This record gives sequence, C-alpha cells and structure tokens, in this order.
Amino acid sequence: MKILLIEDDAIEIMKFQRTISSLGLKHEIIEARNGEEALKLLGVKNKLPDIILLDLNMPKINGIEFLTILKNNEVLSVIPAIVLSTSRNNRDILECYKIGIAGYVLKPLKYEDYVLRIEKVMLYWGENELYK
Amino acid sequence: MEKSFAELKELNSELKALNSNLENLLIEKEIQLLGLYEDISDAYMVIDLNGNVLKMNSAAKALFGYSIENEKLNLIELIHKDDFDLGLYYYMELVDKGFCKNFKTRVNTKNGDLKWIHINGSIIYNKRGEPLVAQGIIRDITETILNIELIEEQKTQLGIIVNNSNLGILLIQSGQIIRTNYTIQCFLGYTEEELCRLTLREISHEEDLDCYQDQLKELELGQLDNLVVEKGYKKKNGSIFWAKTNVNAARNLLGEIKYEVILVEDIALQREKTLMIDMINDVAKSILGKMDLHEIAWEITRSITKYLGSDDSVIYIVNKETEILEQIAAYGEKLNGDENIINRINIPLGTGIVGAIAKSGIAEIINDTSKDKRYLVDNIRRSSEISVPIITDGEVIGVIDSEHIDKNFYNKEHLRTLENIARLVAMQLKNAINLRERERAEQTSKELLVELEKRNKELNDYAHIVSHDLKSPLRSILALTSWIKQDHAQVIDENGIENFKHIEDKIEKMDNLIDGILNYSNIGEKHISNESVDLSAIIDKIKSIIYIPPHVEIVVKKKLPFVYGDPTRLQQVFQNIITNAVNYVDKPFGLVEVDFTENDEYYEFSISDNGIGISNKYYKKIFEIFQSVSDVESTGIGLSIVKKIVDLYNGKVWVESEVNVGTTFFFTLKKSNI
Repeated sequence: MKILLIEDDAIEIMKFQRTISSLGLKHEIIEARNGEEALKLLGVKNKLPDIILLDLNMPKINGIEFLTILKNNEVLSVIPAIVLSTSRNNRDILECYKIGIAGYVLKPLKYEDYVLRIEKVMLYWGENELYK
Repeated sequence: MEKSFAELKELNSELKALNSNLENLLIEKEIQLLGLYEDISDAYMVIDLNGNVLKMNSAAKALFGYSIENEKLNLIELIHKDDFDLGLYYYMELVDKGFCKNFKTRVNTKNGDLKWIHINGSIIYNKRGEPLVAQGIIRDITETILNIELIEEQKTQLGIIVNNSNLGILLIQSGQIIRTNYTIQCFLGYTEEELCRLTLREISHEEDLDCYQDQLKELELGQLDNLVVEKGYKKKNGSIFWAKTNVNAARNLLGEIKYEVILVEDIALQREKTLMIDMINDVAKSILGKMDLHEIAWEITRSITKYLGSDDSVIYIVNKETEILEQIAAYGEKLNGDENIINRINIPLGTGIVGAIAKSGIAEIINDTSKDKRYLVDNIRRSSEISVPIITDGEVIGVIDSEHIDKNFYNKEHLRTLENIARLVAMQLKNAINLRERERAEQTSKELLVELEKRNKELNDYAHIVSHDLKSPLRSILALTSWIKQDHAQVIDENGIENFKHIEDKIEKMDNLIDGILNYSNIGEKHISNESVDLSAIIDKIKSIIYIPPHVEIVVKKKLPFVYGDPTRLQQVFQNIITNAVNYVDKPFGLVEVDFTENDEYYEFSISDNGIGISNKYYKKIFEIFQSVSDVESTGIGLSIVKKIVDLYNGKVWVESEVNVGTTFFFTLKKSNI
C-alpha cells in the first residue's frame, strides 16, 4: 500500500515509521509536513496514494480545510482519508465525517497502545479493495 | 383844435348831465326795490349813517324783536359790546369802500337773546355821490355758529379720546394707512410717518390674512359694516403683536367705502391666559401615554412655541454621566423642513444661561441677553430669554428654554406657565429618560452577551487547541521513553525501569487532567440533546466502565426513574460521584448506595459511601475546579464537572459527610422537560 502521512510533528512521523517497520509491513510511506505540501504531492497523478492518514492540527491549511479541498476534487475524493488525532472533540468528529472521512482514530497515550491500534488500521485497509 | 376842445367840453357836460340823470334813476330804482325786500325771507334793513334804522322788513323785525313803527332803533347800539371794535372796523370799511361783506357779530335782541348775525351791506349815494343811507341783508347765523363750536368742541374731545385711547386706531383709505394714533404707534413700534407709508397688508401677519379674506370682501361689497377678528400684526422689529381688531367701514352716499376705521385692542394678556390653559391641556393630552423621550419633548416644544409666540423653543435633557445638556427637541427657526434640529448643540452643565439654570434649579427671565455674560449665541442672537428647569425628586432632569428677538419679551405669566408645564411633564420625562437608559443598558448587555458568547467560544476552542498541544508532547515523551526501554533494554537496570514507570504514571496523570479540562469545557457547549434517559441503564453502564475493587459493592436501593437530559452528561454526573466514592473507600468492605426521593418538582438523588469522609470545611471547596482534598490519585476536576452539569440543569448539589464514617452526595434534577 502506498500511504500518504500528513503530520507536522517529527516524533509522530518517527512513531508511525517505527510502528510500520516493527510490524514488518512493507507499505510505502510518503510524508507531507502540512496540507499544502500534501496537495502538491497529490498533484502528481501517477503517484496517488492508496490511503491518506492525517492529523487535524496542522499549520497553514488545517486538517478540516485539507479534507474539504480533497473531497471536492473528483480524482482525489475517492482516496480514503483516515484522521489520526488526539482530539476527542465531538464537533471535530462530526464535521470530519460530514466531509467524508473513512475513519477517525484517536492517538492513544502509550506507544504500545499506538502500535496495536495502527496494526489494526493497517490490517483493515490491507484487506480492503481500493480504487486504482 | 380850439373848436374841437370847446365841443368836447360841451359834450362832457352833456354826458355829466346824462350821467346824473341815470344815477337818479338808479337810486329811484333801488328805492323801488325796497318794496321787494319787504317780502324776502332774509332780514333787510336800511339805516342812516348813524346807524338809525330807517326801514326794516318783517324778517328783520322777527330777528331783532323791534319794530321801527313803534320805537326808535339804532343798529350800532344792538351790537354786543365785545364785538364793538369789530363793528367799528366794518363800519369804516363800509363808509370807505361803499360796501362790507361777511360781517359777523353778536347782537342783543329785544327779548335779551344774544344772536349771531351775518351782514352784507352797501352804501346808497345821492346824485352828488354823497352817502345817503346804508342798506344790508342780515342773516341769523346763531345756530350755525353754535354748530361749528359744537363740532370744534367735539373734535377736540374726540382728539383727546383718540390719542388717549387704549385702543390702537388706524384710518385706512383703499388699504393705505392715512392716520394713526399714539397707541397703535406704541403697539407696533412705528412712528405716524412710517405707518402712513405702509398698507394694512404690509403690517399684517401673513398667516392671518387668508383667514378673514372672505369677510373683508363682504365688507367691501357692503354686505358687512363691521368686522371683528383676532389677528397678528407685524411689528417694526419683525415680531408679532396679537390683537383683537375691529374694522368699521365709513361709506359715502353711493355706499362705497370711503374709509376703514380699524380699532386694535391689545389682547396679549387675555390671549395669554387662554393660551396658557389651552397649552397646558394640549401638553397634558399630547404626552399622555407617550414613552418616547423625543416624542414627548417635541410635543412640549411645539405647544410652548405656539403659546409664547416665540420663534425659538428648545428642550434640553441632563445627561448625568457626561454632565452635558443635550438638545433633544426644538421648534421654530431651529428646525429645518424635515423636523431635524439645525446645529444641535450640547451644553456642559454650568455653561451658558441654560447650563446655569440646570445647575441652580431656579427659573429665570433674561430681559436683555446682551447684558448677560452667560448668554451663548446659538444660530442667531436673540435679545430675551426664558429658561425653566424641569425638576423631579429635587433633581434637575432638563431645561425648557425659549428665546425671542425682542428685549423684555417674557413676563412673569410666561414664567409661571412654563413652570407649570415643567412640573406637569417632569414625571413623564423622567420615566422616558429611565426607559431610554434602560434600553441603552439592555442594548449594552445584549452586546455584552454577544461578546461573552464569542469569548466563550474562543475559550472553548482555546481549551481544545491547548489540550491538543499538551497531549501531543505527552504522546511523544511516552513514545520516546518506550523506545529507549526497547532499544536499551540490556543497559537499563531495575531502578531505571522503576523511574521510567514513574515518568509514565505522571504523564498518564497529566493526560487525565487534560481530558478533565476538555470535558469541563465541553459541558457548556450548545449541542446537548434533551431526551428521556433511563438512569438505571446509566448506572449499569457505569458499573461496566469503571474499575470496582472486589471489596466494594454498588447498591441501587430502588429502581431509578427516567429523567430528561443529555445521556452523556447525566452519566458524567453519576460516574464522577460513584468513582469518587469507590476511590475513597478505606474500609475492608466498601458500600456505595444510590438512592433518590422525589417531590412534585424534582428528584433528589443521593450517593453515599462508607469511606474516609470529608471535613465540613471542604464542603464548598471540593466543587471548585482543581481542588482535590486528598492525596489519593485525583485530578480535582470530577466534582467541578458534576457541579457544572447540575447547574446547567438548574439543580443543586451538596455534600454531607463525617470524617472516617462516610460521605453522601446529594443533587437534584427537575422533573419537567428541561
């Protein structure tokens, strides 16, 4: 799977990469530090990712704004976008689902719990048929 | 030549002879004429040159009462002694010129009456041209003389009346003023000469002219001889003088108007009294039930202006905060066509005449503003001013003020009236001012509320952002410690592992704290549901979520009711209290009991435990945020969340406790749909 990870926090990126490698998964991870960078990457058609994982709190274009742009784009809107967030805020969750996210995953406090959760997410999307 | 001279001489003597003949003939004829005089109606007399009456006709006899047939009569002796000199003068003239005309004298008649007579006389000469006798026609003018005297006397009397009259009098010919009296000159401030250059129309108040135009027509046509109207006159200085006017038409024989006599009565006082009563009524009626400050003020200025006949009336309201007098209504020249005040001025308290009155609370009339240093020139300078405070509860809330271009325009009557008005309107103005202040305050609090909502939202957003920013580093720290443990497992001893555990515990506590803050800030959010919630189900759910040690039992004493509210929030209330109760159990067997009582309005729930108890000095403090009474693991937010939710539902929460025995929390929820 080709995964676009949109995350501004370096440690979070490390966490994700370490988790993927520790799980022995062979996914390709494309990193973007913010929504703007991500949109640039998505502009290159033959390099579209299979799924997008993103944090909601980002500088420049925030998560919700990014999702809105994504879902209004005919080509990009079919890519499942999964939110990774520390926020349990109901308002945010509701808005994200309204825009059309594929999932909303809370970042657990402990790294061990994080690994378990990411494993499940990867297993789930690994089992899904995706539009190529 | 000589011959002709002799001939001429002869001719001349012949002519003389002829002439003499003719003269004698004339005298004869005249004497004959005497007979005719006998019969004419005027008195006729012939006297000799000494005044002795030689002949008199019957009219003369009747005039003088004498008859020369019976007695001797001398005309000169009849002349009144005061007229004697005059008589002598006329006699000389008669002798000199041979005639006299228009000799008027008084004579004594036989019966003692004094008569005025008029004599035209002439001398009758003889052939030699010597005066022979005098003849004359005598007319009795006693009555005429008396009439003239009477007229003169009446004229003088009339003059006195006219000039001393309280009525102004104008004599009008074809609209033009031709005579005036002193009174009207005083009324209007013009001299006689100035008035006589003007027409009636030019000194009339325009507004009035149309009102009685029809009546004036009737007067012209002779359908009316007299017209009484109340009208205004334009004074020389431009102000209006109110008067009752009586127009009388004097006609010639053809019925055409020769003159109009206009009597002008100053009814200012009378008018004022009527106006005052009218105005007080007017004001009372017009402000009845009105609550708008401006509307009331407009009504008052309108009425006052009409009453005072002034062209400038203004109402000021005292703004207590700024200590400024605001001009809230005006009438007269201060208005433009759209009823807006031109050059609306605000006056600081204590400044100008109005400002002084607002401060002193004592009404004043200023008869000459040019002599008053306080006077502030508004749009134009006006010479007199009246300023009356509006007082309620001993406090000046406003000022009624009027100015007039005349000096000495305002009188005590005006002052009394305005004071009456001020008293009349004070209460209502005060109410209106209060209303305006209340509306302003309401507006302010509305704005404040909007601001507060905005701030609240910002604060909530802020709480979320801060929480997120705090939560992320915690996750990073835990990830990093975890990696250190994994990557360096061989070199970390038991002590190191223990320390890592401490780090993890502290971070966990901090994360809980952040969640607590987030929950707390979420409570006030708008989107809360309002549904029927089964509290029994809530308790079961709580039992399944929280950790309950084996030695602790949670007992629900009777079946809990359904209440209206937001399930999540209601769960938070029960969960937080029950979690507390479970945590603070220090006995070998812990018992947490859930119960409730009810009345018509609300349910009162109680959750009691047999734990460590709380000292009563903390009863209040425990509900405040971040206040944890014990050192047991606790964020100190749980109970403040309980209080916030119960408050939100207009309930009450309180605690009863005995140290080392146990604690009971109580809270109420209203039964009605919230």
